[in-house]
Order: sequence, then structure tokens, then C-alpha cells
Amino acid sequence: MGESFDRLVFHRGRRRFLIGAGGVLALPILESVIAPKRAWAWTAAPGMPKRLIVMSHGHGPVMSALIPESGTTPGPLLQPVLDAGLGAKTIVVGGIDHKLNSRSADNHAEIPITMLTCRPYSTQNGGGGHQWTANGPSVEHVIGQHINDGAYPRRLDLGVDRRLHRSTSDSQIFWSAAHERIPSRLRPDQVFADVFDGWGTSDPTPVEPPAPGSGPKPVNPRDYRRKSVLDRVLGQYNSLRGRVSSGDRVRLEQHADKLRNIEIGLQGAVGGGMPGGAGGTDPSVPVPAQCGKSPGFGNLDDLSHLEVTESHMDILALATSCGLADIGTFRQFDLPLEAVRPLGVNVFRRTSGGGDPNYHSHWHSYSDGNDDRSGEDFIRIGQWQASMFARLLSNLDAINEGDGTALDSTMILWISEFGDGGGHSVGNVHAVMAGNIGGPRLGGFKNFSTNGARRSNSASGNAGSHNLAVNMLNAFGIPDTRFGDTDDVDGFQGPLTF
Amino acid sequence: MTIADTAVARRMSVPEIDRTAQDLFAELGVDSDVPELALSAPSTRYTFSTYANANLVSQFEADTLLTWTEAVSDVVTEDLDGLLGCNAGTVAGSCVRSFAERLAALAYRRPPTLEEVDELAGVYEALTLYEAPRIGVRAMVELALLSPHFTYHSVDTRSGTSGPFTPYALASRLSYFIWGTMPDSDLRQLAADDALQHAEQVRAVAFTMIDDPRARPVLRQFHAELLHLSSPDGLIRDPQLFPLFNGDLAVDMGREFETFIDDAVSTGGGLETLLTSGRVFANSRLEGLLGLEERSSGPDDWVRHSVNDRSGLFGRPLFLASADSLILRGATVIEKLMCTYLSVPDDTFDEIAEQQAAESNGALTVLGAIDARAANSQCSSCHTAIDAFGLSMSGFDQVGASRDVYSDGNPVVSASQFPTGERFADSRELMQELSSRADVQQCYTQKWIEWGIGHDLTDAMRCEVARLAADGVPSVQALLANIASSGLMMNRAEESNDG
Repeated sequence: MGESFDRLVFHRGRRRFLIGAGGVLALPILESVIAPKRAWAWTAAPGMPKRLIVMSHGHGPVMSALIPESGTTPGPLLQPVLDAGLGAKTIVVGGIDHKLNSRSADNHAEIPITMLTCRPYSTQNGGGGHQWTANGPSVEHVIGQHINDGAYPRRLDLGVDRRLHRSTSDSQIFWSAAHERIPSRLRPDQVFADVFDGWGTSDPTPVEPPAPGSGPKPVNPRDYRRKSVLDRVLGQYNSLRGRVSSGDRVRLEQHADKLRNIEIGLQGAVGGGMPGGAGGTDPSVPVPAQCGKSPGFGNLDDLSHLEVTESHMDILALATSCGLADIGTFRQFDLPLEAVRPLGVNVFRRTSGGGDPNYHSHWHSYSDGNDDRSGEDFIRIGQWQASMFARLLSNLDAINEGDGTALDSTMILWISEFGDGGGHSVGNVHAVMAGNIGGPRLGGFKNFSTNGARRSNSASGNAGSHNLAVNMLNAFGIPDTRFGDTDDVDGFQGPLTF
Repeated sequence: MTIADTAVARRMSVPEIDRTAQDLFAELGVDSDVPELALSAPSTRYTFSTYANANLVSQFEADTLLTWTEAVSDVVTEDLDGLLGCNAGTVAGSCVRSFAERLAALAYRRPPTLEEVDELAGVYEALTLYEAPRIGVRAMVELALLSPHFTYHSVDTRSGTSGPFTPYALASRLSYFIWGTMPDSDLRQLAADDALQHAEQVRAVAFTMIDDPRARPVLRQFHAELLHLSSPDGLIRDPQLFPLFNGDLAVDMGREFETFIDDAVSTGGGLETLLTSGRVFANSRLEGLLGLEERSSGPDDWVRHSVNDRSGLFGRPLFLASADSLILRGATVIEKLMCTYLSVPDDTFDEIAEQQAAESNGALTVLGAIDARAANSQCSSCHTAIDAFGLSMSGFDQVGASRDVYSDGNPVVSASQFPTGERFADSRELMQELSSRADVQQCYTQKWIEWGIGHDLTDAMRCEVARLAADGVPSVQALLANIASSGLMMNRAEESNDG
């Protein structure tokens, strides 16, 4: 292994790592904060995807630049994917609707909450105000639980927000349960420190030999320590229950449940061996070659939004392919003007009523059809987003898993809030899927509209995001025929037929 | 007094955890900086970060807390013998046990029970069957920091499940209310001596604590959360529109805000000072942005100015940049000074954006938009007041600089009136009027109480709030000392059965 991550982080001043030109970012062959798989872990059947990555952007594409007016060749917005030679492993899915738009709400609140949970949102009051919240888990979380045999998924959630230097950002898209939103980690340096803890480093204190008769040394010392600590902490929570009010008890139990979830993931840490791929601890399981390569770092100065996004794409590809996470997500809502200027975006319209120019107001002005320059801007931004998608795919496709590449065993879903970014439309939305989507042939554009609509903002017919979620479940071996709450939506059961 | 199912055992907020960990290990002799907890503060538009319900734990947060404890244990055990005060390898039993007692006393903010010391020593023994002593000590530190006795504020009472808090629980409540961190050795000694039994004792101690510089972080954070201020690093403006604005200036705005709060409170100021003071603290960059006389010699030279065109909290550049539309400014007055919660339309953010777009392309003027809302019966019930109060601050742009004309080219109009008809010429007159109103003084008092108790007021508490606010808020220091020594802070309420 090359230069240790520890040295890179702490001796280069700024905590930044980017893959240099042609470089490969190596990942630790160590356990992570993501709990290792248990001994009885789910195994993908032949041909089935092993992992899922969901990428989400705020607003939506310039529809005419993505969806072909006729035929099956996607528009220029997807050019970076085609340029990377990945067109045959990608498919643009159009003509599906978000079917939960019956209640009046700010679409930015409603759609992200409902798009992957497929349930109507609700509102929660607090301190006189209210906020929108989900009524169930999003589909990637359900799949992650299935992969992890019902335990909390091994997931890695990343994002880029307007403010680069925060640690986390709330997500409206990904939910582990009703009202339980899953935030995105924003800073790649902290992701590395937390998730890939220990890479290239070793505890300077030498491990003493076990005392005679003290039993076998734990297979995974850190997990053994975690379990020793968590067992005692959970005991304290239990003994505290009787000393607090009923309202406090609920909060304490909720906290203890989360700690218990971590502890459950550590069950195999004590005593016997434990298989788990590269992220596990069984030395008999081969370690993917890419996980042990020397790192190549670029210049570690001056983070930018674009570079952070690149880092996240790299981390997602390698963390999932090295077995450190089964579910990966990436989320970006909007970006400040200066962040996208390097893309040649510089004609955003000015706002006078307040606030700085941002995606939201510009999408509106574009939608109004009174500023074509904004449309050009958003195509540029969309192409950059597509290039990040292509980067993720390329990273995975470069990893040989013997019977194919990591891309061939990964389902990737790229979605956005709306069908048309400016129109805030919930009808006729699109999804770009890649890798292993459970059987359907990839390549080109597949339209599910039953009324012929392609670029229209209006509802496109009978296919809904509920159906697409069923496709995803089925691809991972979950035989359900419906997902979410379809009680108020007739006919949206079963998968889409490709 | 009965309180239905009221939260009192709240989890520490992220800043409280960070400050506590820093202080705890400093007392244990650790020189290194303790890693900060990498979690975002919860949204506090309607509440505070100290709210019990604002600090519910998600799986992500639980994971992050775990890894944070491990990062902390790694740093603080670098000098193992220094931390333990002895050599763990040679005198393991007594050395480790002594450390367990000191660690638990500080982390749990009270003398630990025998069982708690046994538990900490026990995890050390379990780990060192296989591992080096340092790993065992790391586990002790992680156990202490993950313990609910560290994470949650104590609600222990002298007897039963209600009534006066134990001296240690009260010392802790007092310390977190005023300092936002664990009690220091003096406060712990007062608890040990049971010298915090009576309101007069607590009030005197509280006064001393508020005068201490350690109170500043809480005073700043409370007012920043009250006004729902953006973090300076989150302020982004188009340099073409605001060429003077940049990241350094945003940081300056944050410092100006903090200096204003420090000055107002430390000089004995009350609500009138907070709302009407014409003091502005500026370095050379801020002087340029705000059009002040150039008296500062550079970015590091901070100078106090007295101005006539901006007053108090609502005239701070950081507030005006954070609340960057007149609607947000007006709504903040109503919600945070009058404690009147506005019903937020579901599509409110779209409306604001559409208005901005319309104004930018000339389809609507600022005043035209206000007229349009006034003419719409669905909007006018709230916007009559929101827009009137916001209009008084419309002479400041989105980075807090003064302006004479709106971006639509029309001259600024700051004069407006209360819904009840009283007129004001600008934000100074508005704030002067508001600072003298009993409902505003009571609201400000209520906000501090909510900050301290960590939840919304219950009906049963309102009489106590009225009593505390009866004399107005001539001094923030006195208000906080009165709250700290009130029954709301010193006693645990009974839980009602009719919940």
C-alpha cells in the first residue's frame, strides 16, 4: 500500500483528496463504520445486482435535451455517457408519473419525499411551524435492508450542498422509516475519516498477546470493542427508563434502538470468523484488486463544488465495489452561481426582490420561456451532471469482478425532482438507469407513456414511480408486486414491462 | 404545577457536546484539541437547538456519535500515562479505577455510583484480555461519551420523580443554560456543599456566571437561532450584483453580530438596547459595505460606530443578509418578537421565487407586489402585518447595505403602520415601539425560557412567564438570573396522568 491516508490527511494541511489525472483512489481493506455483513448475509443470485446506487438532482433536465422527440437515441444531455462508451449499459426511462400529487404543497417539499417512498407525505408540527415528512422508507432503504437480512442497511449517503463546508445536509429524498430522514454527508474528507477509518494506519500501541486461557482473540478487534462498549451503554439506557417521564422514555428508547441497530451489525464480531467480502473480516474471502491499489491524489488545495462532486463519485464507486456499502446515494439540490461558472454558465438572470440568483428562480424564468440563455445554462449543467454519472459508471466498469465488471453487478438509478425542471412537473418524469437493472436490455430510450407524451409536462398515462420501485425490488429478489401506498392510486401495481 | 408528558431529559445539542468534551478532557489534563462532532445543528426556524425534540437521534446521528467517540478516544489517549495520571501497565488496578472515578464524575456531571465505576473499569478489563492498555482506556472513554448520563441532561430530583432537582442536576442545568457546557469545579463544589438550595443562592451564582466570558457563546447562539440567522459561510451572493460582498465580508458580519451581542449584554443592556441600539462594529471592509465613515485601519481593526439608519438586532448586516426579502424580515418580527406563529402557505417558497422573478423582469415592482398581496383576501390576513414590518427594513439590500432605491428603480418606502393603525416612519421607530410593548417583552422572556427548558411552553407555565416578564426586560443579565432561579428551572414538574 502506498502513502497512508493518515499521512495524507494530516500532513498536507488541507483535508482534501481527489483522484489525480489517471490516478486510482484506493480504499481500505478494513472494516468501516458501516457494519460488516453478518455470517448469514444475503447473497445475490447469479445475474442479480449486488448493490444499488441512487443519484438525485434537484429540479430536472431540460426535457428537450434528454428525451428524443422520436426514436430511441437520447438527446445531447446524455452525451458524456455516450462519449464514455457506456451507452449500451445505460437506458433512459421516460413517461412515468409521480402519482402522489393530489395534495397541494410546494413541489420541492412534496416530490422528493414521495418519489422514492411512493407514499403520500404528511406534515409535522413543531414549535408552531410545520415541516413536511415521509410516511415510510424509501425504496433503496428497503432493498438495503433486504440485502442486509433485515438489519439496518450498510449505506453510504453523500451529497453536495450550496454550503460546501458543512458536515451533513438534510435530505428529503432518502428515508429509513416514517419521519426518519437520512442526511447526506457533504465533506469527502470526513467521509474518509469516518467510513474508511484506519486505512493505511495502525494503532501505534502493539497488541499484547492474549492472557493464557482467555479464549480466542476476536476476529475484528474494533468491532469487539464496539460491542463491549455498546452492550454496557444499552444496559444504561435500559436502567434509566424508569427514572424519566413517559415522553422522555420514548426518546431514550428511540436512541437506544439506533444503538441496538449498530450492535446487531456487530454480532459476528466476537469469536468465530465472519465472511463479508472486502468489508468483512474473513481472510478467506478474496479482496477485490482495486481495493488495495496505491492511492493517487491530486492537488489538495481549494475545494470546489465540482471537485467535491467528483470525489463523491469516486468514493461511491469504490466503497460499494469494495464491499463497504450495499447502498450508495448522492444528492445535489442546487448550487451557487460561482460553483457552476467553470462550466461556462454565466448568464443567469438577476433577481431584484431578494436572494441571490439561484437554480430555482432561473428554472422559473426558463420555464416562462422568456430567457433562452437560461436554457443553455441548464443544458450545460445537465451535461456536467451526466458527466458525473458517467464518471461513476466508468469507475465501476473499470473494476473487474471476474465474471464481469462492478458496473455489471450494480444497479444505478439517476433521478431528478421533476419531469421538466422549470415547470415543476410531476407528470412525465424520467429516470436514467445503468448497470444491472434486473434483466431488461439496456441502451437508448424507453418510453412508458401510454398517451404518447414524451416531452410534455402533463401526466403521461398509467406508468408511475410505484411501478419502477417494484422493478427495483424484483431485481434484488424481493417478490413484492407493489410498493408504497397505492390505495388512492388505481392500477399502479406490478413492475414496468420493458 | 402539572405538565402533561413534558420533555425534560433532553439530549445535549451538538455545540453543547463539543464544548463539554473540550472542557472535560481539559480538566483531565489533555492538551490536544478534541475532535468536533461532525453533525449539523437541527433546523431551528421555529424552535431552538436545545429542544428535546430537535435532538432526536437518527441512525445516521447514532453512527456518527459512535465514530466521534472513537475519534475522541484516539486523540485523548495519545499520552496515556498523562491522561491516567499513572502508568497503566504497572499499577493497572488502582490506576484504572481512579481514572474511572474521575472520568465518570466529569462525564456524568455528578459523583458516580459504585456500579458505574465498576462498569468503566470492567470494560477496560474485558478489552485488555486481548488488547494493549491503550485500547482498554479508549473503550472507557467511548463508554463514558456514549452513556445516556453524558448525552442526556439529568432530571434527577432530591426525592421521588418531581420537585427540586438534586444539587448536581441543578448545577448542570444552570451551567448549560448560561454557559452551554458542563459545570466547572466551583459550580461542582457548590453542588457538593448543597449551596444551591434556594432561589436567592442560585440567582447570585447565575449573575456571576453571566458576567463570565463563558456565557458569550450561549448569548450569541440564542440570538442567532432566535433570528434564524444563516451561518456566515452559507451566505453566497452574485459578485456581479454585490461586488463588495465576499466570504471574508460574510465572516465579518458574523463577528459584527457577535460583538454587538457581547457589547449589549455586558453593558447591562436589555430588550430596548437589543432592538434599538445604533451601535455598529466595523472593520475596514464593513465600513465600506455599510457606507460608514472610514475609521478602521484594516480588516483586523474593529471600530465602534453610532449610526442613525439602523437599529438593534434587526439592523445587523448578518440578519439583513440572512433574511433577504422583506417578507422574511417582516415574518421574523411577528414570529420572534410577538410569538405569533404564521400559517405558512404550502407554496410559499414558490411564491417568493415567482415574485423575485417577476420583479426582475419588470412585471412587478416591490410595492406592486405588496399591493397585490393586500388585494388578495387569502394573503392579506397575514401579509398586512408581514409586509408592513418588512417594508420598514426595505431600505437595506440583500447584503445589509443601505439603499435609496429598489432594484426595480423605484424609491424606497420605509414608512408603514401596525395593523391597528399606529404609524412608523422606518425600522427605528418600529423597533422603538416594539421594545416598549409588554407582549414583546413577554415573548422575549418566553423564548429564553424555551431555550432553557428545551420545549414549548405549556399552559401551566404561562403564569410564571408573565411573572418573570412583569418588570419588562431592563437587563438581559437580570432576566437570565431570574429565569435560572425560577421554579421552571429549579424544579422538575410532575407528570400528569391525563397526558
